[in-house]
Parts: sequence; C-alpha cells; structure tokens
Amino acid sequence: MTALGVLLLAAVILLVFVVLRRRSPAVFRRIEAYERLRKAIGLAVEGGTRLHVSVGRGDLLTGRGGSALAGLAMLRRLSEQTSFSDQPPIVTSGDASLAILSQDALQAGYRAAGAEEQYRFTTGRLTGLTPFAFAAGTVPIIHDEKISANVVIGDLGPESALLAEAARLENVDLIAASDNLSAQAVLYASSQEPLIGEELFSAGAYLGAGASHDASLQTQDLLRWLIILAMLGGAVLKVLGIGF
Amino acid sequence: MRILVTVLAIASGVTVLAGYFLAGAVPVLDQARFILTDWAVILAGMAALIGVANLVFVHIEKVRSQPGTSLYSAVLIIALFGTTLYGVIAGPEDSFLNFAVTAIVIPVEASLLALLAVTLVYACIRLARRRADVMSVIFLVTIVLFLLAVMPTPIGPIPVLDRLILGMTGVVSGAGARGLLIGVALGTLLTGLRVLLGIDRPYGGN
Amino acid sequence: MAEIRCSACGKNNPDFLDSCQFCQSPLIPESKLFIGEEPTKKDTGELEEILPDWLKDVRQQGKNAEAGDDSFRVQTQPRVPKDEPPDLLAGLLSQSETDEEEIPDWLAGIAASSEKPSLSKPSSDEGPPAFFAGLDQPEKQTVAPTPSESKPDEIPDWMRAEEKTSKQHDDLSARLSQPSSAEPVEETDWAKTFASFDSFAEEPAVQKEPEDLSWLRELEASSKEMSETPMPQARGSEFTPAASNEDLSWLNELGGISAPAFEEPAPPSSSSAEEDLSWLNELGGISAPAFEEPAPPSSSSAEEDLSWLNELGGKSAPAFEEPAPPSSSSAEEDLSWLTNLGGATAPASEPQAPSQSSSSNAELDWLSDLQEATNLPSAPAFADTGELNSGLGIPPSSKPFQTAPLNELLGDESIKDVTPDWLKNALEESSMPAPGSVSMDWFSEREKPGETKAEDLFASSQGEAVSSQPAFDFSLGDSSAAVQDLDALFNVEMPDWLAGGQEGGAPPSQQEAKDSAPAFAENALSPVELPSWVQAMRPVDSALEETAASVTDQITETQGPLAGFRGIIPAFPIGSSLRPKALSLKLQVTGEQQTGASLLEQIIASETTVQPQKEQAAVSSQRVLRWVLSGLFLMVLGAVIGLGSKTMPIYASATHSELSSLIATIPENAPVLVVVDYEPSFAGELEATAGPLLDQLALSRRAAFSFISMSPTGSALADRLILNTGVGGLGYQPNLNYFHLGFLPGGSSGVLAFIENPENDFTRFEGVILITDHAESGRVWVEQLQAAGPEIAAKPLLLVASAQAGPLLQPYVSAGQADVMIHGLYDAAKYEFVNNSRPGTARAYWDAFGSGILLAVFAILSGGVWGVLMRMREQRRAELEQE
Repeated sequence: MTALGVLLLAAVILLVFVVLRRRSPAVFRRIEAYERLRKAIGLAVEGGTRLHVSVGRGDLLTGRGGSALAGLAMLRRLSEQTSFSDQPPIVTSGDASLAILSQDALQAGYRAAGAEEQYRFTTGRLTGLTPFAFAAGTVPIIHDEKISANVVIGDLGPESALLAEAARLENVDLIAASDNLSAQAVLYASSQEPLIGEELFSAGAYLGAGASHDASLQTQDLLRWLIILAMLGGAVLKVLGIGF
Repeated sequence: MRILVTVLAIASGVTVLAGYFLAGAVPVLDQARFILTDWAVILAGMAALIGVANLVFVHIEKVRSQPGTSLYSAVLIIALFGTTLYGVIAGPEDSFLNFAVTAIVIPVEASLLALLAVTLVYACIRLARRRADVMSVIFLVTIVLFLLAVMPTPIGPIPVLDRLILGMTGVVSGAGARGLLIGVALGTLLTGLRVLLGIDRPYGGN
Repeated sequence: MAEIRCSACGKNNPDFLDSCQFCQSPLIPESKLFIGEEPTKKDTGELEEILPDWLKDVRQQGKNAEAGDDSFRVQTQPRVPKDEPPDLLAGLLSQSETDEEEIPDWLAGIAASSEKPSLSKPSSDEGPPAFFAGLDQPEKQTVAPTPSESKPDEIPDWMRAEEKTSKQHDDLSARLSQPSSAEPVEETDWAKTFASFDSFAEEPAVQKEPEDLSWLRELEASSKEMSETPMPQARGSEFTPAASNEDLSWLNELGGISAPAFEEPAPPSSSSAEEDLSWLNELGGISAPAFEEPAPPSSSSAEEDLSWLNELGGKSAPAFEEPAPPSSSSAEEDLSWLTNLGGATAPASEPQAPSQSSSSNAELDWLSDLQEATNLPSAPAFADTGELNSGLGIPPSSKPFQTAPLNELLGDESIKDVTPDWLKNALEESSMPAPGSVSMDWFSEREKPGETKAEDLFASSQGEAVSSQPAFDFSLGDSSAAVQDLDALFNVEMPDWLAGGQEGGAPPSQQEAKDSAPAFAENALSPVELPSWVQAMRPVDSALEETAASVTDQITETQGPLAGFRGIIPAFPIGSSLRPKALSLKLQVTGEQQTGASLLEQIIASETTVQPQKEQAAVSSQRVLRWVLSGLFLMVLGAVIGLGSKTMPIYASATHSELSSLIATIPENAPVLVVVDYEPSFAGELEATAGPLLDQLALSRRAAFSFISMSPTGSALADRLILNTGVGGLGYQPNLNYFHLGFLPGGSSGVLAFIENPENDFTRFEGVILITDHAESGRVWVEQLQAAGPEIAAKPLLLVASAQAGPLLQPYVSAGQADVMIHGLYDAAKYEFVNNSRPGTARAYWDAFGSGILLAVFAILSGGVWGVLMRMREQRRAELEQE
C-alpha cells in the first residue's frame, strides 16, 4: 500500500504541476549536453546532414521501458524539428516493440510539421535483438549514413562504448544518456557531454516537448526531496531507537 | 480513433496497476491483469516478427540501392532466411540450431565484449587528455584503485588496499549507484504516470 | 420632311437625326457606335436643331463678338498658328423660332428701347446706327423684305457683293426676321447680326428675308473682289478661307472704304466714316436710340454696360467715367459707343445727346474710329479666316474667334492709338495681383498716379461693376470686348471682387487704396472689396507686420518676371554664412568599427573560399594506440592462457563458506529453478561464475535443474551452461536430470505470472538460482518472490551475477531478500577454491584475469599521465601564442 500511496501522491503532484506549467513555463538549470544537442540539430538541418537517434534496447514490458518512453518522447520532438531537413533522421533500436513505436513517433513528428509525405518507414530500424547485436548493427549506420550527430537516449549497456567509439572515429557528436549505470560510466568516459542519472528523463523538458514534461521533471525533484527527507528521518529514528 | 487508442491504453494500464495493488480485494482485477499481460506478451512476440521484417526490408533496400557496399547486408538476409526456415522445420531444440547459437552467436558477442574492454581502456586513456577536470581525475583514480583492489597478485590480495578500497569504493559507489537508481526509478515512475494519465501518448502519434 | 418616331419617348424626330432630340436616345440602331468602329462623319449643320436654346444663344453671341474683333487684328506679328479645335457648331443655322423663347432681359430691354425711337425715326436718319436700325426694321414688318427689295441705290457696292453668298445671308435674314414675328426681341437682332457674319460660308441656306439679306449679298459680292490676304488658321473656324474672303469683304467697306483700301492704311475721316456707316442707318430704318435705350427692367445696367463702348477708339467716354444715370432718355447714350468706335465727332462721343439723330451719328462714330485706328496691312473683310475687318487695319492674323492676347494686338502702334485706355490698362497689368505678391503693396501701387492705366481700367470696370452688367455686350471692333463678352456670357453674376467697390464694406487694407482711387483721374482704378477667397489668402496681420518690418530689408526685383516684387528671393549673398556647411563624403569610422568591418569582410570572404579538408592519415596515433593496446591484450592474455599459468593464488573468504552451508540445506533430488537471464556475450563470465554452484548442487544434492530463460537465446545458453560447468559430466541427462522450461517473456509480469501459475507449481522448487548479467532481473525476481507469499519468499534465492551487476544486487543480499550472491570471476574463483576447485574454469581464467587487469591499470595510468602532460603542454603553448 505504501507503493500505491506513493503512486497516488506522485499523480496528484504531477497534475498540479501540469496545470501550473501550462500557465507559466518552468526554468531549469543549464545542461550542456542538451545545449549541444540543440546546436547539433540546427547544424544538421542547415548542413543537410542526418541525425542518428537511438532509443536503446529497453523492453517496454520491463522496468527499462521507462527510459525507452523517454527516448520516444525525445524522438517525437526531434523528428518534428528536423522534418524539413534534407536528410531525415535515422532511428535505431534494439527491441522490436520499440522499433515500431519509434516509427510511429517519427511519423507523428512529420505529421505535426506538416511534412508527413516525407516520412519513410525505413528510417526507423531494428538493428539487433541483443545488446551487442544492436550495437553491431548501429555502428555501420554511424559510419555510412553521413551522420552529423548521434543522440542516444534510452536503455543501453556497456555496448554504448562501441557507439561512442564509432562516433569518435567519424568526428561527430554523441549525446547519450542511459538508465544503466554501466552505460553511464562508459558514456562518461567516451562521450563529449555525459548525462548522468535521471537527466535522461529531462530530455523532453529541455527540448520543449510540452508542459507535461516540465511538470514531470519538477515532480521528480519534489519526490526526490521527499525521499531524502524520509530517508534521513528514518535514519534518525533508527539511530534514536524508534523502530517502525 | 486517437481518443479510442488513448482510452484503451489508459484503461489497460490502470487495470494492470490496480491488479497489482488490489488483487486481494478485487480478484477480477487480478485475472484481468493476467489476461492483459498475456496479450501484451503475445503482441511483443508479434512485434518481434515485425521488427525482423523491418530489418529485412532495410537490408534489402540497401542491397538494391548500394550493391557494391552491401555484402554484409546480403549475408545477413541469407543467414536470416536460412536459419528461420531451418528452425521452422527442425524446431528450436534442434542441435544444429544450438550449434549455430553456440558456435556463432556467442563467440561473436563475446568478441564484441572483448573489444569493449579494449575500447574502455582506450577511452580512459583519452579521458585525461580530452577532459582534464576534477571529476575526470577522480573517475580515473577510482577506476585504477578498484582494479588494483580486485587484481589478483602473486602475493595474493593487497591486505590494506583490498579492504580499504573495496570498503570505501564499495560504500561510496554503492551509495552513488543507489541514488542514481532512485532517480531513475522516479523518472520511470513519472514517465509511466504520464502514459497512464494520457498526458504523454507515444503510441497515438501525438 | 420624313420623320422618325423615337422608340423611347414616342416623339417624332427629323429623319436626318441619329438621336432623338428630346430624349437623346438613338433613333436608328445603325447609328450606335460600338467599340472599334469608326464613327461616320456627319454634317454638323444637322445638329443645330437639337442644340439647347442657351447654347444657341451663346453661339450667336460669340459669333457676334468675334465679328467685332476684326478692327483689332494685327497682321505684322507672326503668330504661331494654334491648333484650335474645330468649331463643330459652325454649320449651325440661325436660331430657330424656338430660340425666341428665352431672351435675356437686358437684350429684351435693348430691343424695347430700340423700338421706340424706331417708331419716330425714319430709316434715313443717322441717329441710331443704320446698321442696327436696319436690323430692327424687320421687326415692324410682317414680311422681311428681301435684300433685293431694299434700296439698292443707297446700299454701298461692298454690301451688294454680299448678295452673292446666299447661305450665310439667308441665315442672317432668317434670324433678323424672327424677332418680327415673336415677342420683342429687337435687342437680339443686332446681336444676331454679328453671329451671322462668320457663318456665311458653311451654313446651309436658310429662308431669306428679302429685305434683310440684300445688304448681305452685297457684302458678299464685295468681299469677292477683295484681295485675299493669308490669314492664320482659325480656331475651329467654320469658315473656309475662300468663302470667308467673300463673306467678310463687305466689312472692309465699312465707312465706304473699298476692298483694296484694306491693304493700305485707310485715312481716318470722320466724314467718310459717317458715310460708311450711313448704310447702317438705312438698314431696316432703325433709329439709333433704339439701341441706346436699354430694356426697362435693366435700363440702368444696360446703359452702364454699353457705356464703355463709347470709349472705343480712345475718346473720352463720359459714360465710363460716370455712373450712367438710369433714365430712359439716356438710351441714346447707350449706343454712343458705336459712334465712338468709328472715331466719330462730338455728336457721336456725347453720350447724353438725347436726339436720335445726333445719337445715331454718334453711334456710327465708332465705326469711323475703327477705321482710323488701323494702319495695318489691309485684309479683306472676312477674308481667309472670316474675320470681320472693320477697315481699321486690323491684322488678318487676328481672328474674330480667336481670343488672341490683346497685348499682341497692342504691339502694333496703330491699334494702340485707337485702343481705349482701359483696354490698354487691362493688357498691361492684370486686374488681380500676382500670387506671390500677397502684400497690400499692390493695392498701394494702385494708388500711384503713374499707374493710371490700371486705375483707369479699374475705374472703368468699376463703373461697369456697380450695376448689373448685362452678360452680352457686343462690339464690332473690339476683340477684347468680344473676349470679355464671351467670358461675360458665362458670368451672369458679377463677381464680388469686381462688384465690391460699389457695394462698400471693403477691408481696411483696401480702404486706403479705395480712398485714393478717386484722387486720381477718372480712369484711375478704385479699390475694390476683396472677395472672400482672396481675403482668405491674405497673410495675417502679424505676418504682414513682420513682413512689413522686413520689407525694407528685402530686395525689390527690377527685372525679369518678378519685376516689382519684393522679398521673393532672399537677400543672402552667395557664400554667406547661412549656407549649409559642406560635409565630407568620407565615412567617419572609428578604429573599432574598422576592425569589426575587416573581420566581417574576412568572414564573408572565407565563406566562398574552399577550405582544404584535413585528410585523416590512414595510420594515426589514435589508431596506433588502439592497435597497440589490442595487441598487448591479445598477446598477454593469450600467452597466459595458452601457457596455462596458475601462479596467482586464490584465497577463500568467509562468505563462500556460508554458501556451502546453505547448499547443504537443500534436500537431495530437489527441483531447483535456474533462471538464465544473461546475454550470450556474458556467457563466458557467467558460466565460470555459476559453474561451482551448479557443480556442488549436482554433485552433493543431485538437484534437478529446471532452466527457464528470460531471453530468446536462453535455451541455448542453458545447454552450454550444463556442458561447460561439468554438470553434464556428472551424468545429467536432459529431460531427466535437467529440464528446459522455455522462454519467459513479459519481464516482471511474466515472472509473476509464472510464479502464480498453478500449472507450474512453483512451490515444488526448493530454491531459485538466478544467473543474470544485469541487476534488473535480480530485482524483478526478488520483488516477485517476495510478493508471491511467504512460502515462496522463504525459499532460498541464490544470485549469480556478473561483475557489473553484483554491486547493484548487493543491497538485496544485505537486506536478506537474497541469500547468497556470487558476482564476477573474483567470487567465482574463491568459491571454486572452496569447492575443491571444481570445475576449475574460474581458476583457469584467474591468471589471465589478473594479467589483464594489471595491463589495463598500467595502460590507464601511463596514458592518463601522458594525456595530462600533453594537455599541459598544449595549454602552455596556447598561452605562449597568446602572449
């Protein structure tokens, strides 16, 4: 029931923040990786090059689906912004369900930009069913498709180091974020601007996906503080010998 | 149509969630959860086939448009169709298929993992030159200490360094890891709530 | 005449008309003119009858006035022929009977006054001009005598010549005969006479009045005898030169002068003038007073309007200088101008002569004046242009229909001599000030005695302006008068600026000019009351004062078109300080701006220049480093493994002892669930990690393993696990000792469903072994087992994790949710050591594992130090370059 209570509390706070953010947008701290991402988007559009977006290999039926949904929201926003580019973005994923949803997000972005006729289903690809197969299938795209920037946001493992190496060899940017700690450590060492922890889930808010993303981010902050207070309080009580 | 899809998604999510928490109170929710979960599993399986088909189409298009540089795409297509055909005929428990997995899939991925090891070492070497800040130094130092802590030595584990490093790094890294995981969990929670409340619709082309 | 019935109004119209004269709708469809069609030429003479009455009157007046311009034509000055639009109405006949319906009052008054003297005055008298008298004669007779029935003996030869042109004379006669049958229109007869002069050539034949046309025919005949003088093209004159020569020749003999006499300056002779004009007295027998008597309603105005004519010829005109008294007896004075035109003697110039005879003589004097005034090359009367040459030497270049500037006419000295003063003043100076001279100086200038001409003009015009001047004012010998008549035709109401002087109430600024006006001669201009629109244009008094103050500083122009004006051009000398300073054409740019501009220029230039791309070397330092590292790892690890080195010792820990104790608690031959949830890439590590555990369970407890996979490749990985862990060597047979439960999708939901599925009977499993490479899987199983109930939760959960997942699953172990965890090769080697080094896979990897870690540490440390040094050197180099 504690879990249900936390769930209900989070839902209420989220709704409140959604209403507030629709009236006045929130102001967040600067994250260099997303600044770099915005610049990379603009350069890709202006230069007529491609963007490579990867939503990872997260299974929607597991807990790793959350990062996959965050990647899909970012993909929706990116596809709308780059719809009028000469080269459409390529989306890769390591899960079949995620590949279908990534195609749908691409199409939705084009539709929102009024360029639905430019959508091609081959731009959303399933590159592998296993992590390293996914990485092995994604590396050639980075080498051969004239990619100017790589945006990898989703559930990735240590295989993301291979993607980072490929991007380094092509001298292109790599903006990556993962909910996997191993991937975070690998990406911290190999990418230009690493995104650590829950910065993965702020992609939509920083790309202007809507008030709901802003509200979600602020709800996370509020809940985190609540958890911190609960942990500290519990520790103090435990020290004081007050058990519960 | 979009409204119907949204209503269906919300209803399914709420039902499964309620079945987790209120299964004891409302047994029908538990049964509904199982049914919906089974349907999701079936859809995921079918999605795998669709994903594979998409993979085939992409490589066929690459072979057609770039015949000179698409050898690997041709090999992939041939291997895929051959394995699929043999598996349908012989069954998944066939020893040949096991041999194909054991002799091809596992070595290939293991090789990739080995390559990853070299890549990570190389990345660590370049980290100091690419981004020489405090955090990078701490990162590198931690890596080195942890490796030294677990490294087998001819003299055995380093007595003081073993406990000190593993204790300290373990506690610190463990704590940091837990914080990160809590943040990730919160993000996952809110992402799921957005989908449950219909605010975010990754399925309906919003 | 055939008639056509109009389809619109239903009235009958002559067949020669294209449009209905009543409603103007086309009578004949063919007469409609469509776009692109060429209009068919029509005889304009056919349009006469459809003209409105007022237009016909205007035409008549105009013709009469233009006929009177002949005496002022100057032939010497070459004039640029004006392309004047043709007079489309030139072929019009004389006014029809319907024209008699609208007769101006002043004209009616003249006719009425003319009737009275005509009753008592025989036609032989010289009182009223015989010309006009003759015109009135048909009014008293029911039948107009034909020209042949007149007294030919008394008619000069030049008049007889006019009989030869039938059409024009008939027209005139028709017009002259019309007043007799209508209401008194005697005042229009003489007007019609002038209008008919220029219509002799083209007008169709009109029913003649025998008595009236005879003299016209004679005139026509005489005109033919006259020598033709080239005349400038008329302004839409309806006359052809040949015909006009014939038609106007009789005018050359006004005063008894023959046609050739026009080529030579005719000597002015009053007696001859009287003789020349005597025929006018015999024409119709109309006495002079008939013209001198204005219409009763406007008698006074008529007198005043005509009084200026007395001064034509330069003689004093008491009628102009003094307001004409409104008296019927002064009717004779009205016609006195006629005598003055001919330069007649005192009887003609005396406006107050009441007797008809004296007035008639005086009225004829104008004709003699006209004759005396001219010294111009003679031109036949109504020569080429149909102009009326009164014998005064009017240059044929001036046409009666051309309102030529009178100043041009005045350029000829002969004309100047006969030009009345008021006329000269009008030509020399405009009656209104120039637009630029808004100051009142103009009015003050008017007060100067030297400027008598303008004042005279004003005075004379004032005399006229006071009374309601009739719109029509006919004069045979005054082209400007004709012009004014034409203008006056359209200005029935005297403008206030012209009539303001009599009305009083003049603005104070004009009062001074007004007051000074009487101080001058009678011809001096009197100040007038400015009209409202002029007053609005005047500057305010303050401005006037300012301007007045600076007037003395302003320069008065002495030449050019601005002569006499002051303050038009500023009196600043050239190169004064008030002129704007010359600005440099060079752009003033600061140094910073110049730098920025040069930088921008470089940027723009660089956009078009081709940037050479840096070709990446096939062998770069980065690639070499990677190759070296790869080579080192391959060589070291390959050598260690190949040599089978086992030099690095393994030390057991207390944790692994607890694991052995735990396995000992599992019953023998108990089913144990083995969850295979790792990727093929981690198969080597996890097989080495899970080997000791599975071996101990298989060897010591003969547990039945049930393998379930969380990934599609799980079944293959399970078989490999059995094979590589040595379990297969212990006689474990598939489906006998170990079982494959297949692939379990759905993540946590699938796990929960598997656990709660009664078919699976999860409770039969005595333990769960989770082999995974990620912490998520462990978390899921931990959570689901805990949620499945205490019975299932109490079952031992053994975790076998990779090195990357171990730290993340440690909290579950620490919390007691998981019993034991073996993570990575480090723990596997220690547990294998405890397990009597069975299967020995971990031990085989131990030395290579250590060597690899040592190499990695060495590479990271050395590379890190090298990278830091290189960075420092680069920073120092950059600093040196900046310095």
